[in-house]
Order: sequence, then structure tokens, then C-alpha cells
Amino acid sequence: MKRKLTLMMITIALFAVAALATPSKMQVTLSITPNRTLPGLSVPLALHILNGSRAVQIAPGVRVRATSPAGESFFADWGEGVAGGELEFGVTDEEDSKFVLSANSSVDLAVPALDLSRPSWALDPRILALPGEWAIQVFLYDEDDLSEAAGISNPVKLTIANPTGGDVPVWQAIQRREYWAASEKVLAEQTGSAYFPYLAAVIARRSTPDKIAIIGRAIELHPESPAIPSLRYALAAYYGSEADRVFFQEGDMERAVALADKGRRELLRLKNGGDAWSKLKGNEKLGDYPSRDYFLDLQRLAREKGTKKK
Amino acid sequence: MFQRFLHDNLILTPFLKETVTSNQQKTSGEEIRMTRIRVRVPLLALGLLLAGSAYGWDFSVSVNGNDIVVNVTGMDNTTSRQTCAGAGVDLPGGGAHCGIPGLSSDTITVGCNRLGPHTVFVEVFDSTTNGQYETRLASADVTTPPSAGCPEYTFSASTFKALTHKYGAENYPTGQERDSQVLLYFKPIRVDPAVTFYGRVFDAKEGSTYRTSTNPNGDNIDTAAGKLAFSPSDTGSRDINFQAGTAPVKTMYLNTTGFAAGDNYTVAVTADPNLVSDPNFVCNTSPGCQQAGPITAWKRVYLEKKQMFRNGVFVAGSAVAGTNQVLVQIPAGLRWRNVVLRAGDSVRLLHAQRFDGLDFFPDYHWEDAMITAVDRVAGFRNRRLLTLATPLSYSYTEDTSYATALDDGVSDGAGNLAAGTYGRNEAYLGNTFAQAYVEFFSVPQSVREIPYLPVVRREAHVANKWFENTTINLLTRARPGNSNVKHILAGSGSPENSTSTQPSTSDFGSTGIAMSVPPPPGVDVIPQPNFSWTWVGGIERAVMQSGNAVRNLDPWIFNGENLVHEVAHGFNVNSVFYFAGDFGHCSRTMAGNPSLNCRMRSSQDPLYVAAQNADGIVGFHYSSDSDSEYMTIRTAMEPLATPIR
Repeated sequence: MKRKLTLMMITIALFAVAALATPSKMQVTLSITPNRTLPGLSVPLALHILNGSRAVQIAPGVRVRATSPAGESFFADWGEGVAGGELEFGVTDEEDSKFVLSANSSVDLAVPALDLSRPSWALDPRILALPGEWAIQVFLYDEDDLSEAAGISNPVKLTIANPTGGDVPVWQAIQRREYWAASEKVLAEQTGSAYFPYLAAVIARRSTPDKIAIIGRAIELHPESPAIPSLRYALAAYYGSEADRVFFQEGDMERAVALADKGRRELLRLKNGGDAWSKLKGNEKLGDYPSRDYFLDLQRLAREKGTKKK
Repeated sequence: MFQRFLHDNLILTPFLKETVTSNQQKTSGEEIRMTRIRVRVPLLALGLLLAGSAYGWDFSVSVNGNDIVVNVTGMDNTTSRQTCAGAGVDLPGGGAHCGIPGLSSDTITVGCNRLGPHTVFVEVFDSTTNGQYETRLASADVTTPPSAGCPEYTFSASTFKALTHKYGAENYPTGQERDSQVLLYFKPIRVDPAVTFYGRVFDAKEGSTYRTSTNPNGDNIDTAAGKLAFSPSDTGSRDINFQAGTAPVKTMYLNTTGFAAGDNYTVAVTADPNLVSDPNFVCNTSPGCQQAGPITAWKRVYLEKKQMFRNGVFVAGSAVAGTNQVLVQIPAGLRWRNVVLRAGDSVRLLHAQRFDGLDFFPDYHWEDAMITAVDRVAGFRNRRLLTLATPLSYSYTEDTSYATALDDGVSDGAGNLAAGTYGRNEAYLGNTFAQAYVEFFSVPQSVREIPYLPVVRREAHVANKWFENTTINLLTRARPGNSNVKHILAGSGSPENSTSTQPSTSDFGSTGIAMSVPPPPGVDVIPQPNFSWTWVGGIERAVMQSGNAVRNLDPWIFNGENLVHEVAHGFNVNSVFYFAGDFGHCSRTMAGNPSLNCRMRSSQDPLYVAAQNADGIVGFHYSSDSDSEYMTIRTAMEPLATPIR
């Protein structure tokens, strides 16, 4: 009897441990590469999500929980009043932007390394100020019940190295939120810095062709930077904007198409890239991007309905 | 008939002034007429007959014994219905008689005049004066001495409100010509010119209802201020003396505090030298002593106001003036079915300077247009080409300050006029801040609406994009705002759970201010922020939400009370972190009403009552001079927004 009771207790305890060990119905596996960075520079957060027995509409918002070298844990503030990041689902449905993960299925999603024109968990003042060994976790949510996390990832280690040399004043300028000043300085003096690709999309008060050239240079000089997918997306966005400008303001369709083609090539690179965010974002954006057909359509509509003939 | 004070604005056009003063004629009965105006009558009459209505007013001035008599004729009530006429001797603004429907003529008698020449200010409001008082001048010579019943002299203040700073281009209110200075007038009537008079500034009793336990004779915060001078550029002194002199009016200047709104003063004048030598001298009980005031210092704070459309799109590419087509893109996270713009709908196109200030179209402008066609364009799910009924008068363009500006909603847009805007209830703003001696003034702005976003993810970016009365800091992206300008916006909401397209039902506003202490995580924004968002969409959603503490509250009253709350944050009240990132709140009750929340009471406070967000009773707390929103607002150094603690 005593043995039976003991076995029963062990069984109950095992169930309890199993229940506690499962943080939610959704299993989220986080991996990061690289696992070493500089203050303020985020790294890609790759998420493999295995759903439980119920279909879930995953909320685009994610939160990052960070644990400092001293053991203090907190949800990262992404800066500029933004409390969380955004997942890319690659949804191309014209009627609906929802992303539903069906029961017992899996998906790979990611939060990219974000250039400094975007809010990022790495810009939380506590993380930004303190190099050392950090632990990172990602929290996912169910759009139908945002009150608690639907999935919590495993923690992963991230080393935030101490900046040295010319990177020290850049780090300090970022802490003061002097992004425009920092980006100008790095562009002029420190294009070899790991900060350059992260600041290349922040440059202000330049023409779009100038910005395209600066981002292109950052990609060329830092092909292995984690920020490359984010930069390629920025590059594509600028090519698209410039194509529109050339079409509308200069009326030069061939040049507009050529610019759009360059942007499309960047998106195709993303789509064919190795990480989940690039694939999804590239594919999604290609469905909303200028092309020859687009400009021909605009031209036709201007001819048919516009007051000014092109 | 009823009495009203003269309008604030004294209109003295150079033409009229010159005309009247250079064409006065004295008749044998000391009557003065405006001959040049009469000479023009035949010509004017022809024109007015053609116009069908208005004709100019006229007046005459005569002297009857010691009285100066002004007869006003020809006032026109055809369009204004109301006419008013008044006259002042040696000073404008002597009060006016009005009527609705107004009479065409009036007679004003001004008695108790000193012997000698006087300037007469005649002021009329009628259909021909463009909604303002028109003032004309004449002169009169009084040869009969004033009766014994007349006062020895009069002493008055031109206004009881002293603006500490006026940063805008608007005129000062009547009675003030520069910051922190009020004009005082001494008019001798029966006084010998050689008589010496004494003047002293007193600290008047506090005028508020909440600061009740202070010393009634010394409660001003800025104890160094309150000085009298005979020149507007002099600092002056608390005590002065002067001779009555021969001039009909002696002007003095009261220099008030430059920052402490609510500080007030009375100024006493008497021929009794005890005024300045006897510390116990009481003007009220001293024969012949006269006082002006209390004169109270006020801050003027300028508001730039924006309201977000409840639906609409952003401009993609460029729509150039003269064309009739605009390429538009829906806000991120939405689909076209959420936007529902169709042919026949009208939109308001909105342009702001680029986020980084580099712009081909650097102004701010807007125009309305009717859509005649909405067409898909190949290769885009989220764009449409709108064809408009008429060509555009202005240009609109996508903001390319940073790569994803359009995705963030930091771009030119087109609001759906039929959808309306997220309104802002200002019903409680003026009265509540008047208790802190702050008056709000609408700053000139070109654009009043901003494009629709289902949720505002980058509140500082969107606010900065549309902030007109500011400059751009090229190091930090900051737009701090011009002196004393606050940027208040009404919009949809902050996102529920960071990226949802639904406005949060627990976050009802957000204010960005420059703080002298490092902000904790959660309040970090672009440096030198200057915005107060009211999340109207969030409020409207919350009051409908089952289980929400504010369920069933009136969203419009809630909106108005929340606006007061957010604007108070703009003065950096309660400059402490009440609870973690909960900045600027308190745990107090309302001054004079201990059963109610102070409007800044934190929702983290155990005694916070959510239902009082919409009870229509708005006020702040006063525990002491150093613990009160009223006092923080009153003592904030100008120019705002400069945090003081």
C-alpha cells in the first residue's frame, strides 16, 4: 500500500513537473546567430514554432525578455515609445492579414536584426548601457487573447561586447539618441565600423539616390553584418520610392522601370535568402512593388482619366 | 440696451487718424466736425447706394460747462444688428453703450474734466467697422472748472491681467505693450500741478481658491517683482513719487513677475507721504488714497492642435499640383475593405514638411477633393489610383526621410471626409488651467488634421511629422516646439499588445516632454518631445468593453478630462516616477473636493476611481506650494517646455 502510494505520488509529481516544464501550449524554439554583438546592435531572432492542439491566430507583436549579467530580468523597451517588435508572416491574402497557425503544425518566423531607423529590443537603455553576458527570450501572443503569452521561447545567451576605439563615441551618441549625428560621423570617418550598416539607413536630409548609394556601400563593406536583410529591404523601399518619384515628377518611365527592377532584385535576394524573415518579407513585398506593368497601368489611367497626358 | 466693455482691440488706422486730426474744425459753439469725411460723402453715397447698405458713422464733440459731450450719428445696424458707441477723455476705452437692434445715434457725456485741452477718443461698433470697434480722435478745450463733487484725481490700471510672456505675433491685450508690464494711469482733475504724490506696490491677497493658508500680505512667489516706473524700459522700484503736473494723464508702468503666474499686485497712490514711510499704512481707510488692481500675472500658452481622420489613406509617390490623380496606399496592417473609398467620396489631402525637414514642398497645406474613380494598379495589393474631379492646387508626396516612413504612417495622406475625425473635447481645458493662471491661445497653423492610422505605433514620429511651430534638431531628430507652444493631438490609439491594429483599451493618452532626469525604460522617445496625444479611439473602445473599469462612461467627457490630464503632463507636473515607468502622477485628491481624484491621480493608486474619469469635475491637488500641479504649472519657467525639477 505504501509502495503504491509512493508510486502514485511519483506519478503525480512527474505530471506536475511536465506541466510546469511546458510554458504554454505553443512550443517556441529561439536561436540566434551571431551570438555576439555590440551595444545597440540587434541580432536576428529565429523562431521555430510548434503549435499545440488548437489553431492559433498569432499576434504580430512580440516581446523580448532580457536577463542582464547581474540576473535582472525585464521586458525590453524597443525605444521611441514602442513596447515590442513585429513578426513578418508573409501573408499575401487580399482580404485578410491574419496569420493562423493550425493545430499541431509548425512554422519558422523571425525578428530580423533591425537597422537603427527602426525600434529594437537592443535599444532598451538597460541593454544598451551594459555590455556583458545577456540572456534573451521571446514571448508570442494569441491575437484572440493578448492578456498572456501564448508561447515563450527558451532563453539564449548573447554576448554584448564592449566597444573599443572609435566605436565608443558612436555608442555614446546612440545612447543620447543622436542617430542623425552618429550616422553622419560614421559615414564620414568609420565605414569599417560594425555600427555602419546599422546606421546606414538612418542618414537624414539626403536625396534618395544618395541614400541608396550609402546603403549599397554598407552592404558592400559589411556583407556578413546581421543587418544586411534589413538593409536590403530599406534599399528596395528606396528604389521603389525613387522609381515613383521619377515617374510622377520627371515623367521618365524607362528610368522608373529600371529603378524598380533594381529594387525587385533586392527583394528577390531576400526571398531567396536563408532566414525566415527575409523569405517571408521578400515574398510579401514583391506583391506590393512597382514594375513595368504598374507604370504602364498608371500611364494608361493617366491617359484615360487624368488631366495631364504623360 | 445693455452695457458692455470695449473690445480688446483698439483700431487706429493711420488713414483715419491722420484724416481726423488734420481736418478738425472748431465752430463758434466749440463744435468739432470731421470735415474731410463729409467732403467725401457725395462720392461715398454713390458707392453705398450701389452697394445697397452701409454708410459711415460720424460724430461731433462739444463742451457743455465742464462736460465733454460726444454726439455719434449715422451708425449702421443693417448687417451687424448691434451698434455701440462710447467715448473716453485722454484715454481710450471708456466703456460703450450697445443695443440690439442698435440705434443709429447716441450721445455720450463725460464729466469731471480738468481745465485745459483734452483728447477725445470716440469708439463705435456697427455694420461698417468689420466686427471691431473703430476709434477716432478729436480734441476739446475745457474752460469751466470741475465741480467740487468731482474727485481730486483718478488712478486706474489699463488691465487686470499681465501676460508674463507673449511669444506670438498677435497684439497684446489692451493695456499691455510688453511682457510682464501693465500701464497705469494717473489723471489729475482738481489737483494743483505742484502737488507731490506717492505710489507703492502691494502684494495682493492670493486669488486662487486652493492656496488659502498663505500670508495675505505677502504670498507672491516672485518676491522681487512688482515695481513701478515712469518709463517702459526702467526696472522701477516698489515706491515712487511724482508731481501731479500739467499733462492730462501721467502714465506709469507696473513691472510684474516674469514667471510666477498667479502673483498679484495692487498699486496705491496718494498725496499722503505715509504711504511709503509707514509700514502700517492702509490705503482703504486713508482719505484721498486710490488703488488699482489687483493685477495678476498670467502665462499664455500656445496650442497647435491636430485631429486624426477616422479613415483614409497615405500618398504614395507624388501627386503634383495641376494633375488630378493621386496614388494612395492603405495604412499598414489593413486591407482595402477596411478603407472603403469610392467614387463620389470626398477626401482632404494633407501635406506636412518631411520628417527630416528636407523638402521639395516645405510648407504645410491641404485641400479637399472629390473622387471620381478608384482604380487598381498592377502589382500592388495595397495601392489604388484616385482620380479627382478637379486638378490639385498643391503637391503631395510620399515621405522618404527614412525607408519605412510610409509604412509607419509618417507621410502625406488623404482623410475620408465622411468618416470625420477623432474629436477633441476642450470643454474643461480653459477653466481648469485658468485656476493655474494659464490662458491658452491657438497658434497659427496651416493643417488641422492628420492622416488616419488604425493605431499609432510611432507616436513621436507622427507627432513630429505634423508639428508646424517648431524647428528640427539635425543631431537628434528632435522637434522641441517654439517657445510656449504645446502640440496636442487627438488620434486613434496606441496598439494593444505592441502591434495589434486595435487601439489599446487601457492606454488613453501619451505626453512627451523633455525631462531633466533620465527617463526609465518605457518612456524613451525622440529627444525633446513635445506632444500630448489623446487616444480617442482607445477611449471609445474601452467604454464599450465588457469588464473594463471605464465601461459605460461617457467617452466625450472622458476625452475632455483626459485632455486636461495630458496637457498637465506637458508642464512636467509631479516630476517623479510614481510607480516604475508611471511618470508624472500623484496619489492625491482634488483641491477643495476630497472625495474626488486629482485629475493626475495615478491609476496605480489603490484609491483611484476610474469612474471619475468622466464625471465632468476636473481639478488638481494642492497639498503645499511644493506639492501641487497648480503650483508647478504656475511657477514653470518660460519659455515652456522647460522642466524645472
